[in-house]
This record gives sequence, C-alpha cells and structure tokens, in this order.
Amino acid sequence: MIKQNPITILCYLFFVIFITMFSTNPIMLGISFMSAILLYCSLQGLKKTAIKLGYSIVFVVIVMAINPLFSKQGMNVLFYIGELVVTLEAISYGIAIGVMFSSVMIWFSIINVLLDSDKISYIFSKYTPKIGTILSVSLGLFPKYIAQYKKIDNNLKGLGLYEKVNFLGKIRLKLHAMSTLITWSIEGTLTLSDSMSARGYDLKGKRVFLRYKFNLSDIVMLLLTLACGITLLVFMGIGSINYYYYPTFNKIVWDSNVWIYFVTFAFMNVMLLINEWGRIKWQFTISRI
Amino acid sequence: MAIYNIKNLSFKYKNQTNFAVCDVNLELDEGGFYIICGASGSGKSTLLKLMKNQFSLIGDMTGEIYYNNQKIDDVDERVLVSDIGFLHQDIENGLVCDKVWKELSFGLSNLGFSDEYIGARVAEVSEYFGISKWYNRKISELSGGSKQIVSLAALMTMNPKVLLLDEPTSMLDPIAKKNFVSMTSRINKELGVTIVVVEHNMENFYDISNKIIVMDKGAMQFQETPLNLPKSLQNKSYAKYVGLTEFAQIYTALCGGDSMPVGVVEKRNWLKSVLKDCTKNPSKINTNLQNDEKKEIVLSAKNLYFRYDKKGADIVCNANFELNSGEIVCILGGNGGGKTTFINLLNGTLKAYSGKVIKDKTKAIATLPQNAKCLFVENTVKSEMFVTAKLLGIDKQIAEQLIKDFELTEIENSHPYDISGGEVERLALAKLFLTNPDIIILDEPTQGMDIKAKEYLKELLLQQKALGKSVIVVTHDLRFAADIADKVGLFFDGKVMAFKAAQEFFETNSLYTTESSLLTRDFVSGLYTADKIIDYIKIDK
Amino acid sequence: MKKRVCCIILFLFIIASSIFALAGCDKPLGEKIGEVTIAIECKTILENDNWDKVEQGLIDNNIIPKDGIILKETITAIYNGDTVFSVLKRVCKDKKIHLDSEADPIMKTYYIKGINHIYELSVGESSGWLYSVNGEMPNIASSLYKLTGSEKIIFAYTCEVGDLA
Repeated sequence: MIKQNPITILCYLFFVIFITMFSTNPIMLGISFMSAILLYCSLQGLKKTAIKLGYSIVFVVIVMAINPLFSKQGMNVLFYIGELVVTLEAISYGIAIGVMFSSVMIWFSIINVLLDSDKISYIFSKYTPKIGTILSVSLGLFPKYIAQYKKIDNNLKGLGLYEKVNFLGKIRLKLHAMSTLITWSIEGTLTLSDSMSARGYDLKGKRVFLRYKFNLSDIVMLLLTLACGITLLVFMGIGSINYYYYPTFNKIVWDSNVWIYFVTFAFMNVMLLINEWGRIKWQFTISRI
Repeated sequence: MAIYNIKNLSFKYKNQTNFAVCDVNLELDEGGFYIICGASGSGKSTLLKLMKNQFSLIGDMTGEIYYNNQKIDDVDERVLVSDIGFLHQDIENGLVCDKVWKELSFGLSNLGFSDEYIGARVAEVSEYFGISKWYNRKISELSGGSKQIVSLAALMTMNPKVLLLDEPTSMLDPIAKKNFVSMTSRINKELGVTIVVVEHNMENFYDISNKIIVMDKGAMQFQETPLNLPKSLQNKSYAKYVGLTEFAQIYTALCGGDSMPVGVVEKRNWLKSVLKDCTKNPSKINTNLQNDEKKEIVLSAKNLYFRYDKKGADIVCNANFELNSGEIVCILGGNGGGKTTFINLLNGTLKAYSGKVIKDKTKAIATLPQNAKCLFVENTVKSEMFVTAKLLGIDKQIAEQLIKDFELTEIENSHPYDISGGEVERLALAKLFLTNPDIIILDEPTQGMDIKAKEYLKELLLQQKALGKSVIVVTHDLRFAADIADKVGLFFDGKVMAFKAAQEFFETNSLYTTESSLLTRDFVSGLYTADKIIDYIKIDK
Repeated sequence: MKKRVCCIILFLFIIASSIFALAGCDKPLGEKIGEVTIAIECKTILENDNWDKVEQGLIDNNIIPKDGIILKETITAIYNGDTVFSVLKRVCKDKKIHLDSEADPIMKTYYIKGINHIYELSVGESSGWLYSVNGEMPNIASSLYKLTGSEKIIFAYTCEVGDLA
C-alpha cells in the first residue's frame, strides 16, 4: 500500500480530479485516462484493471451513441437518420465526455483504494480527536448491527415462525426483528459507553493515535502537487487551453503555453505512479521469483 | 502488600429489596490471581464493577474500598483508567472501535500520550500477545476468541496494575478458552499484574489461581487456596454450584482430605486407590447404554453439501446424520466450524445445494438459537410468551401453563433483559415449547449458564427424552455433553465425524474428552463423567 | 454477465426506436396558397461591443458572414398549413443552411437553438434567435404562426435585450 500521508494523497487526488472534470481537451483527457488506468493497474492488478477498462469502453460507447440525439451541432455531417443529423463533432464530443467521466470514475476508485476508513478518520482525527473517535466507533457499530440483525432473523426462522404465518405475518416478524435489534443495541450501548469511559474516554487532553507522519517525501509531493495544480488552474483561468468541439474542432496552436500546460498535467498525473515505481518494480521481481 | 482493601462493602440496586453485595470484607494482595465464584445472582459481577468505580450502577453503596491504601473515590481518574483494567462479559460491546489498531491505541490516546509512545506500546503488546498479524484487520471479522484476546491486549497497553475480568471465557469455545486462560496466566506470572476473575465455571482458571473467593447470595463466604477449597466446601449447600473442575467436584463430594492432589499422575493414583475399594462392575451401573428396543428414525441427512457463496468453500461437505426418537445427540466442535450452519440445514432454514434432509412429516421441529436473548422484544416475561403465542395463533392457556412448567412465575413481570442467563434460556425454551415440537434443536444452550441452570436444563432434556422426543444439542461444553448425550459427534471439516455412542466417544478421544475419562480410562471403563464416578463410589458404599 | 448484455441491448434498442420515431414526422405539402419573403441575418454580432463576446470557435472557423447576412431576402412559395417555422426549415434545407431546433412535445412547438452554427448564448448571456413578421415581433412560437401569404419574415440574432427594435 502507498506509504504517503493521507493528507498529501487527498490533496493530490483532489487536484487531479478537479482539473480532469473541467477539461474537454482530448489530449488532457487522454493523459488523465491513461495515467488513471496505469495507477489503478499498479494498485489492483491486471485483472481488475481489465474489468474497469471494459466498463469504461462500454460507457464511452453509450455516451457516444446518445450525444447526437441531443446535439445537432457540428459542421461535418456524417449522415442523416430521418430528420436527425449525426455530425462528427457530436460523436467526438460524446467520446470526450465519456472518457472524462470514465477517468473521473477511475480516479474515484483510486481514492477508494488509497483512502480507506483508517486514512479518512486520520484526516478528521488530526484536527478534531472527538470526531475521529466518534467516526471510528460508529464505523465499528455498523457491522455489529448488521451481524446481529442477521442473527435475530435466522433465530426467528429457526423457531419455525416464518413457516406458520402469511405474508403480513412475515412483515410483522421482520418488524419484530428490527425492534429486537433496537432493544439489543440500547442494551449494548450501555456496555459500550461503560467500556469507553472505563478506558478514559471522558478524560481531558485526549488525542487520537496518528499512525501517519508527515515526512520529507510527503512535503515534497505536497509542494509539487500544489505547484502543478495552481499552474494548471491559472492556465485554465486564462483560457489559453480552452477546447471546443462546436461548430467544429478546435485547432490546437502548439505554443509554449500549451506545451507547459500539457507537460505539467502529464507530470502531475504520473507523480504518484513514479512514487510507486520502486514498489511496483519490487512486486514484479517477486512475482518472477 | 494489599492492593485492594474492601471493608464492610454493601450494595443495593435501586428498587430492589435484597442486597446485591452484602457486607463484604476482602483483602487482595499485589500480584495475586483471584477467582470470585458462585452461582449467578450471588453478587460477584456487582462486586467487580464496584472495584472499578467507573460504571453506571444505580443504587446505594455503603462501606469502603481502598485501592493502594487510598479511598477509591479519591483516586485520580487518570490513575483509575490506566491502573485498573476491566474486561466486559459482553464481547461485542466491550470493544469500542472498528479496527484492531484503533482498539489497541484507544486507552492510551485518551490518556493523551504522544504518537511515538503509543506506537511503541501498541507494537510491544501486539507482539507479546501474538496478534501483530491482525493489526490492520476489522474487529468484526475476528472470531469471538480473537476478540477477547484483543480486548485483553487493549487493556494491557495502559500498563495496568490490576485486571478485573468479568466472566471472560463464558462465550468462548474450549480451545479459545484455554488460550485466553494461558494468556492471563502469563500476564500474572511474567508481569506481576494482579488478576481478579469472576466466573461461575472455574474450569481452566482453577489450577492457576492463588485464591478462590466463594460468594453466595451477595455475601462473601470465605477465601481459600484451590488445594484446600474442597475441604472448606464440605457440607456446604452451595458446594455443588460454585463451578469446580471435575476432579475437584469428585474430591469434594467424596470428602477427600486436607490437600487435593495436583498433577495428572497424582490425581489418577488417588482415584485408582479410591476405586480399588469398590467391587461392583461399573458397566452394570451404566445408565446411558442404549436399550436395544427398535427406535424409529425421525430425522436424517444424506450427503449434504452447503456453501454461502457461489465461489466460497463448502461449509458443510458430504455430511451424514441420523436422529432416532427418544434420543439426545450432542454435536461438538469449535466455534466457526459450521455447526450452526449444519443445524440450520437440518431444521430447514437453509437449503443444501446437494443431498437430502429427510424428516418424518408428522414431527414438528423447533430450534433454540445461540444468544437466545436476542429473541426477546417485549417488556415483561409474561407478555413475551403471550405475544409469541398470539403470533402463532396458540391458546393463551398453553402459554400460562408453560410459564408455570418452566418456573417462570416468579419473574413473569420482570424485563427479559434483567433476568439471569439460566432464566433467559428457560424463557426461550418455554417459547420454543409453544409449538410443541417433537424434535428440539438447541444451539449452545449452556453458554453463560451457571451450574444450577445447567442442572435444570439437564433435567428438562432428560424428561423430554423420556417422553420420546428427540433432542440435538450443539455445544462446546464437553461436561454437559457427557452428562446428557446418548450419542456424540464431532463436527469437523464440514461433516459429523466420529458419530458414536457417548461412552465410546469420550473413551476413545484423548483431547476432546472429559477430565474424568482421562483419569479413569486406564483402569476402569464407563466412568466418563464426574457424576458417574461419584454415584459409582457412593452406591458401593 | 448475461443480464448486463441484455440491459445494453435493450438500451440500444430504445435509442434506435426513438430515432425512427423522430424521423417519421415529415408531412407532405398541401396546396400552394401564396408567397412570402424570408431573410436571416446576424448584424448585431458585428457591433464592436458584441464582437468581443463571440465564442472562439465561431471566429476561428469564419462562421459569421462579414456583412451579417446569412440569407438575403428570398421569395418562397408557401403551402396550406405552413407556419413561420416550416418555411424556415424548408428554405434552410434548400439553401443548405444549418438549422438546429428542438421539439417541445408538450406544447407541440419547436424552439430554434441555432442557425448556421450560431447558437443561442454564443454571444453573451442573452443572445439567441428571434423572428419578426412584417416588422413586428409576434408573441407566439414560430411554429404556431400560420402564414396566409405575402408576409415579410426576418430571423435575426439578438445579443442584448432590445437591440433589434
């Protein structure tokens, strides 16, 4: 798993996703999509990546097919279906939007992988220990309640009650199970609060054990993220990299601005991957042995 | 030096007439290992909770508790938190967090220690307990035994001086129990932590303790070393119910002598010498042997296969089973082995993907689940019975009769959550009998029960057996199984293995067996429970 | 997996059928009843203030005519049942001028989004297409305005409220 501090990761992913979301430029979307897939692959392995990629392609195809229905814009008419004009621009725009959503979705799954409940509660705990603890306690409660509900429901089944009643009776039994769960949970909460105070929850000056430290590589990465992110946002603000599909495609003028922009974005996207490079190499060496 | 000094301590819960704890005087030495025993309702858990002084007990307390020569009310709360660890009986709710590492660091972070210190302590403790590999796991994914070890480890991170354990092993299977007991023994011996255990079934704790404190009806009777306990218990009315080990029970019943033998060899030799005097052939008094009259098969299973997930492993795999009328069958096996799944297949809650369960159509089947408490939802025992009867469309009078039959009249207006473990089981059984079943399946019925309640259950099941009903008991309580079973099977690898008559089962097994069987099998057969040995010798005399 | 494939096929089928449903709404022409004049212009865009607001794509591709006239005054025949919208549609088709309109299935009207790739909102926030008949701007949708003959129709692009008056 990635060793970086959760705050660095969150900040990094926020910038990448934000910029991807507001991009229409095909090159930008390509960069974002490729690097998301690569990073996902390095985290989750080939098989899961292949499945993700498959879904993305299906999604892109669907958006591509739908977009001409709503948009008759574009100068390059491909064909007519009755009164409906299908233009090259509309199809391309559909593809671009599809790729954009797919890459944002993949980036979000990366968030899911990188920031598990531990790391999210870390982000909270760092600033407010109380919320961090409450978060952790309630995260612990959910599986407890679910398991208990299943137990109660199975118990009722085991008593042979379900076989003896009609549909309405079954609903009543489910409600019965729910209210049993509530009674049980109230009883349990007493023990829980006892256990918490017995272990000093009410004491003053409490903190939450923070497992992640801010080390040099975190600081470097955070600074790089901020530098890249702000540069990109400034360029976006100026509008020098705006891209349009209608009435027909934009012609990209390859001036220095555009170069700086693409290189910065590409660098930013693969930053985490580079950071992970050592681990990936190591993983492959191991698998070869 | 005394770490605890309790003087004239009494406690009465609000709205109750009897004292829960009555005039207790007690001195606990530093580094000792104490057991507080007695039947449920003897006030031992209340006493333990008073010793931590941080729990919401509603009632009046008189007398004093001194911790390290300081009144417990005056002890700084931080000291109270870190010095005195308390382990709850309720495994699920005693644990606070979602992940193991958070649980371990919970106490220390509340005390405000630095990350470095907490990290080091937690690492040290996880290594000591051998739970490092669970460090990042979710607590909900752990087994009951593992959860209890985590709870213990979480207390140990705070460097406590005293550990108060409230029935810590009552919900664990035998292997997990032994594991937990040896852990506490290590903590006591290697770290010098004073340990106070409340148990109504001493079993594994018996041999490693220094002092046993016997309580009855809220009053402390005496404290004694384990070796001299049998002598002190002579002719005491509560002797049967303090929860002795099998050998100690035999020794007490037979008025052994001053000092009880320790070690397997000594125990065996003593039994040999006692039994040598007896002349009767033990096989003649073996009441559990089957009479050969033909019995009909009421429930059978052939080649059952079951799994929860499509891609998961088989939980039940090629299992075969047979149940006759008028027979009690016990299925043993560790927790999480699939015993509960197996009985759910038998009673039809789950469907096997291959194989058949054949049931006599005229016979009704009812199952008493594990943790019967979670069946209750009404405010009183009485309405609990009536509401279920109404749900099932059964006459109110039958429910009233059952309340009488199961001796619930006294507590019929109590809340189902306020009654003791034995009474919970009785109420659940009463509910079960509303459907008047011919086949009764009980899942871990003795969990959290004291000896008295177990005796009651035993009687009840034998009665049902005499009526020609069939009983399946899934349990990890070997003593209980040995006491009641006609046939015993071990659930292992998805099937019922070694399914044979109880005597044969206990006498051929060398690990999954009773202490009595292990001690006597070399020179006499048929005596595989403490009661059988006691009866045998008494009849002879 | 089968379920998902079925879902996708069903989805594509719905799309295809809706396309054909849309396609089949061309009505045959009625009897000729007269002639009208029609013009399409976007002169307002050429004003300096507005030119700065024009979307980059329109400028890059030289979409906007230098004189602001997309279709100079043209006389065309009208038939029984013709509306302003149907005439516009026919003329655009004849002259190969791009027209993008959106049907409102509830009101049974058409809304003109863009002509000659110049869309509403392309030149500032209140820009869009308006029409006038004989110099007056009717208050109803162009597809509801029935023609009787010899009207003078102008479709004009507005950049600010009131700049056409």
